Amino acid sequence: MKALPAGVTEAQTLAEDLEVGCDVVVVGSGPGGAVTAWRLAEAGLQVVVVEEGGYFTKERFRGREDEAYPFLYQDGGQRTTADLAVTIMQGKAVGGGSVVNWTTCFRTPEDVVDHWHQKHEVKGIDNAALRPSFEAMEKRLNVEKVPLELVNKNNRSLWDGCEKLGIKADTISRNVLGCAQSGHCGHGCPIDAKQSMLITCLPDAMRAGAAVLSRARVERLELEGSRVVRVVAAALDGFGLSPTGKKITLKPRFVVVSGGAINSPALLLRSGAPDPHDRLGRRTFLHPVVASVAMFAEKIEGWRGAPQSVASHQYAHRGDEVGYFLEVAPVHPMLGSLSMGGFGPTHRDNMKRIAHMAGHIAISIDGFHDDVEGGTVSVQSGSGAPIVDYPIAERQWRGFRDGQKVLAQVGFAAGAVEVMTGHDPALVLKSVDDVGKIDDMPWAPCKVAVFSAHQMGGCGMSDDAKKGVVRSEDLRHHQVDNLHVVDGSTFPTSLGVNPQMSIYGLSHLVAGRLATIMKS
Amino acid sequence: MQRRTLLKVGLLGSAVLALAGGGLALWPGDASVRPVRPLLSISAGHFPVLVAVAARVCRGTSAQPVQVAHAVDTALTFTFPEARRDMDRVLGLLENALPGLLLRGSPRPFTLLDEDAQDRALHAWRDSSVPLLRGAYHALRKLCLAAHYATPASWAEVDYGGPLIPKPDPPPITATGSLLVVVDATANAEGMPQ
Repeated sequence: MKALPAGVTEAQTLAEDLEVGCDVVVVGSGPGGAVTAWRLAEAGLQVVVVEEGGYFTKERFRGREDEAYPFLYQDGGQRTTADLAVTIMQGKAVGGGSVVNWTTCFRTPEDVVDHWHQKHEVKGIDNAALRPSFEAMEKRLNVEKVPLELVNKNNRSLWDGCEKLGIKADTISRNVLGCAQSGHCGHGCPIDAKQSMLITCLPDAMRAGAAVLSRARVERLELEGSRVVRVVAAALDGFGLSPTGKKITLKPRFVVVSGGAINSPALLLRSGAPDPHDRLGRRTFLHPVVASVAMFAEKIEGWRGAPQSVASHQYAHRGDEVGYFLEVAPVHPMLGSLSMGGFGPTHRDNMKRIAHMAGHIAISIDGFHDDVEGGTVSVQSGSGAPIVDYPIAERQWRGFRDGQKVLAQVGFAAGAVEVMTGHDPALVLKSVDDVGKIDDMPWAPCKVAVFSAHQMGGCGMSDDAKKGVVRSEDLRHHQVDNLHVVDGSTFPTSLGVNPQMSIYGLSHLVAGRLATIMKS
Repeated sequence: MQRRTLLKVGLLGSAVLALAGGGLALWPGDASVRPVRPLLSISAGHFPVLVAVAARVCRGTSAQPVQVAHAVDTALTFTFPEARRDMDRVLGLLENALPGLLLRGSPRPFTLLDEDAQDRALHAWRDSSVPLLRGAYHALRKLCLAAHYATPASWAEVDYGGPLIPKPDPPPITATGSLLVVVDATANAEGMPQ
């Protein structure tokens, strides 16, 4: 058994099986894993980060959708719920989702953290404790508010529409440095302007001695009693498609699972981790999104500029109804093509107008009503791949409908000449007087396009073992002594904001505590 | 209640997909369209079905249906084995006589339908009361659309000028080679060789 050298080892290049001993194995190199690895390595612990994705750097980030989605997203960009009703966009690379997210940074709303405290027995995490961690991460990632003059036309249309309707909106903060406004955040930043984990916390961790093992798929954790004794992984080929046959065995003192929502619960399920109260994989949240295509007479070119720079949370709190917040999505050819229903000449004709298209989205906030308890992750009996069942409650469908109506009103207020819903066939609205027709549209699975770019939950934190998978103070598994889960899967609800900063802040806070625990 | 509903959908979905396994021999479809390179995900017998779907979905664009079908076949390699199997079954479901008769009232294989009838068959799935069929329709539709619009071949059609920051072709990805790109020391700030 040997120690891995600091830096990146690409498992596809391994010529023989690998056995590694270390203090801590971190499974996953996204926002949770990278921050944790950095903090633990700086504390002097011997850390190995194991990542299924490839070690892609800016030389391979060329802004092409045909290269980005297959190699930088889960399931090659084809991850969905089991009923195919929700398309799930989730990153997979060294640096995880931070490599392909759209750089939007919001701290966890304080009322959400308070809700966790009151409803989910989260006593070890509070707003006061999180605040310094948010400040530290915002400084490290150069998070700054976007000035209005840098907002592209796509986002500006949301701003203008909201302003005319009296809907409160604001520019957002982004984690970029020297951004060229290329619009390729979702394809991997071509100039390393995005302050993703790939170029920030992972290099920090490696400078402190951490090793990163890429293209290594963790198959299972092996438990003996109440401890993980081995982490078993398979080296994948350079494409990330097939095992090379080289086996990787890691023997750490501690394991931190940071595979993100969906993958973290799936790994624990594959490993047979104790789950006496049937909480593992439960309460998986997707922030499901409905989109509205607003056509303008002028060119929008929604493929250029910061993908997201304006948001409205006016409708985030709607009492008994499900809240939602408004943002935009970039409009590149492939992503744009999938946002519209239909096929053949009708679809082609719409695509010819894609340069004039704004993509407005309503992001539904799940997990705050008793009948909106999210989905469930299970695993395929054969491959062990995750299965996401996400039944959409009637209350959520009403929220989608209401959000679609507001988006249409915003589009027309901004000057759109036409607005299309996400249905197939689409409802094409010619003026704001048509918005009421949205009420008559079918709201059911696969009748209207629903997307997810934010995945949360599945290993929820709660200090009551009957309610959660991990306890809150150090995100330790309730039944496994040396196993921690540090990522967005631990959120007891969704957030009502884009999740990356919440994961950074939580991970920064908890990793500091773990360093003390693991060194003692 | 929600779990029961989902279970019902799942069972019905399994039954529908099981139909895809039978009935092929009752009415052979058009097998004249053949792959131009080895297939990676779908069965050879279903390749003509995928080509026919691609032809309808991408009609009026510059897309070549055989190339789209191959791109979809390649894209499916990035999913997990059960998903690949299910997509192959979906193509069988569209083509086979027995499910065709039960689901859209015609036993005629999809590849033997005229173009209007093929569109009607796809629309029948789109409008079906069976969620699984609606999902299958969208999966096929999106896979074909993505296969075309993700590529530079579509850019001129949609007035897209391509990536803002052009870069040289990186070395090809290989099974056992490093993904790291050795940067040309003589390259300028945009990464273009001088």
